[in-house]
Amino acid sequence: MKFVLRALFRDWAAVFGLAVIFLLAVLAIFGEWIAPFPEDAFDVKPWQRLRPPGPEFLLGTDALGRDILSRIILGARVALGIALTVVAAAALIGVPLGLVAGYRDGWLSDAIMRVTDIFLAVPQLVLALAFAAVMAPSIQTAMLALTLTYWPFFTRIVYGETRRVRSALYIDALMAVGAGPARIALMHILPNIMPAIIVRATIGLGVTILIAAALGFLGMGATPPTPEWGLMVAESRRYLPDAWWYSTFPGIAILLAVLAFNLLGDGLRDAVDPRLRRSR
Amino acid sequence: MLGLILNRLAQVAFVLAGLTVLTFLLVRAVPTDPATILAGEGATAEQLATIRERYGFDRPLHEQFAAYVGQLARGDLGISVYTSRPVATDLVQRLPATVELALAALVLAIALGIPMGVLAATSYRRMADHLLRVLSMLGLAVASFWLAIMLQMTLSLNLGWFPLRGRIDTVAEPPPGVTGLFTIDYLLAGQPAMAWQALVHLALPAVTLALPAMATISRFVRSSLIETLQKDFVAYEIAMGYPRRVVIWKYALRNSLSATVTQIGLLVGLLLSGSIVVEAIFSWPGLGDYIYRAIITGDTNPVLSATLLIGVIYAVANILVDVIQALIDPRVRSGR
Amino acid sequence: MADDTAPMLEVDDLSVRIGTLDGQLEVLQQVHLRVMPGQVVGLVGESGCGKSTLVRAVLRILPDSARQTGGAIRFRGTDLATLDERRMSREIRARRIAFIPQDPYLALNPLFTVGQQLMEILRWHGQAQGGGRRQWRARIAALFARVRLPEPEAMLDRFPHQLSGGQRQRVLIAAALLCDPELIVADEPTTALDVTTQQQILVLLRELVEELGVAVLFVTHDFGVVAELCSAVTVMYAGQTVEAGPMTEILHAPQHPYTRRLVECHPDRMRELRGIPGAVPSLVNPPGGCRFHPRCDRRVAGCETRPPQLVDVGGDHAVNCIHVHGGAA
Repeated sequence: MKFVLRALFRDWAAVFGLAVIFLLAVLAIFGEWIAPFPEDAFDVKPWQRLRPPGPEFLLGTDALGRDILSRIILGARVALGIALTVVAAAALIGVPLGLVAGYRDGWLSDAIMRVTDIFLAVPQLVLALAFAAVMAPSIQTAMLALTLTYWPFFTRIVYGETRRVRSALYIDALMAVGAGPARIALMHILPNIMPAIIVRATIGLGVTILIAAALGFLGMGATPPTPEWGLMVAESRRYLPDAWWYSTFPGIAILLAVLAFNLLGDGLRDAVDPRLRRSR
Repeated sequence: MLGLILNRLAQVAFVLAGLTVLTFLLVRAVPTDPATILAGEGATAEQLATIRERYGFDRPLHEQFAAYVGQLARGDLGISVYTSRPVATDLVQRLPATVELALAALVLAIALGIPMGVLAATSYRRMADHLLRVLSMLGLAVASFWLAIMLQMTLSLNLGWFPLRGRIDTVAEPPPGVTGLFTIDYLLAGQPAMAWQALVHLALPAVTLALPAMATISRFVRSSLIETLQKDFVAYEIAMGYPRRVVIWKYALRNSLSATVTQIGLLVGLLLSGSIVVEAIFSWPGLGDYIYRAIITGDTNPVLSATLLIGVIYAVANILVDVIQALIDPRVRSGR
Repeated sequence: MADDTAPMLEVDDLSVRIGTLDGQLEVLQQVHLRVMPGQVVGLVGESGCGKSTLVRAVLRILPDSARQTGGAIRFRGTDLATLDERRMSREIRARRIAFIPQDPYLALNPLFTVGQQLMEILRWHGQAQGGGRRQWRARIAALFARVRLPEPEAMLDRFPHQLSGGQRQRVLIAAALLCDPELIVADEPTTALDVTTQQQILVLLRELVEELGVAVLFVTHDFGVVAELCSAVTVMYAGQTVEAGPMTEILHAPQHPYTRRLVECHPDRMRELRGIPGAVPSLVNPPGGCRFHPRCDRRVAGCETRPPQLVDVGGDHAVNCIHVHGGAA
């Protein structure tokens, strides 16, 4: 563990990612106290609409006169909230399924993996859109759609890793001393595959932020006036090219957040597994 | 080789069948009553009952499913409420535009991604490698809807170098359909000026779509080439006087590509999902734009049919991967 | 032709450093080696003593992290360090110094037919022979026949995985002969093969060498192989040359304690098989003085402190030991 941390901190990119994630977390928790105009999540101030960036509004205002910096800061909670909920829920579904499928042989594990294949047969955004399309658009719908489409990624990686660990000798030894399958899976396999799960979850947080923003942009996620970054970009389209700040800054927020999780995920993977491994 | 393909086809058939069940359940098992949606607001109870009977919503789920599969088998994907036309007709009409866009993006992504990956691998842990790493990380992290809007804002609206949207100018006459790809069809029809116009329209959407794919390719090529360059045969080839560029670009790269090719499925996924956003923004009249319009108008038939179609495309791409890999690697070919 | 009394390959006081996480390692130090025209020289030592590094230094294919820090490698009088990568690749490798690698299972590119791979060598170095594709194919097939590969014509279109280990090694030998080189560097060419195949390959090599009169630097950790094939030997230990001389002399009157133990290890000598206690020392922190002293049975005071020098004992025989004095022997 110590070694992993040391390797991680040698990686400047991962450290940068970690710093950005820390900043995001602070914004998500203390947004109301940090944002210059916390009431701008919902207020409408038509008299100051579409002001360019300046000393009063550092990143300008939007079409309803709301401070964009404030809305980006308040949006951190929305983005992180969605991402954490979705990844946690997907892990809760996907990890046990992967453990069962990987640890046992027979029809049950076959069935699990076949269903996983079906969910992976269409790109995640497409399937999430299909799910979201049959329900009324809202943040909850978007989170449900993202969870329903992200768990297979956990199942697949946990399945593969469990198979790998299971074939290691000491599992046989544990069976020989009479440890039950549930005990072996939870006490011995799970800790061994935890690094792979953590790496997948970290990258998953980035992917989820990106796809949630796309759903918001397409009108299938957060609804106005929620300060959601994707939605903000969508709202800004009508005011181009004059109100350039309106589209630009929320997009940079998305870019930084996703970049941070990707960099940390990459760094974690390299630290946990120094071999170069291909993975998204 | 044939056995390999047949085996994969069987798997794909199973997965697609599963996908059909999934999409069916999506439409029919959601808590909303499909009849209410079809009838629109303010429909009377009688109207609702008529609709239920006509579409079979009053029958048990498994019967409905049998009917649904029967329809699919006949190529009947239902009617689009938005276009009031058969979904199958719409899909066929819109497929070529998406194919043209995705192909252009794929060509761009490969033409740039492979050299980038090679450059990064051969300058491993030096300046060029770090710069390219930053570039590819940005390419993967950027939201394509935002990138598209940024490109529109700067290159179309401010500088006027590229058209804002569409495949051709709204007043222009589309080419006679041969391949369905406008750039090629115009050339075939002997209209180079129009081909240029189509190409200029294609540029921004293709670049937007290509960026994440390019980043992915470059990362895969980099890591697998770094691995390959440590192999004994590379040292041997250098020791026997093969020029370095021949070793890298011909002998090592081919080995790396056979490892990278397995990830093409991932790329096709990126392109397909990216195309929804990109087509919607650039009003590119393809499948993605169709799905987008269907979604915002709550038109479920086209959404689900298009999802199925994308599943098919995805599956075909994955079979192609196996074939390409067999072509590259003789060991796969002979089944070892 | 060049002067036959001057050395063909001369490694003179070579040192090479490799940068690692633990700092700079001096993997080669005070390495001397000489190969005369037409001579077959064995380079012997335990694994990890720097033999492969020396081979790579001669071919100038050291990894990027390694650097030649002293001495010279002269081929026909030219210091190879003065040639850039391009000239090295165009004028020396394969054409004048050919290479037979250690592991035939890993040395051939799995995605190309052996014919394609050998044609590539001719494409860059075959101008001397002239001719086009067809002549090249014929030349390769003729060489395949000469190294006794079955169906030499068909063999060209086979992929490496379709050949046995012995067949692959024959392909690699044929590749080494393609451009009529003056020197062949063979890096343990039989180690990866099973015993019967090893013997066949050795027989083949000896035949070819006698027939062609080509000089060979033959790397091995097996003194038996050296005795069978070579007319001179250089012994390395922990990155240094400890003894070099004519085959018969080294075999019958080894002077360095390490060489003596190596020769005793050789089962054909009908002596009791005795391993050498201890292992090759780590190069991170090599023993002071003579690097062999911790394992030496003739250790005396001064061995730990004073590094010995390689001294000429006459008759092309040189030894690097405190007990041996220059010229006197």
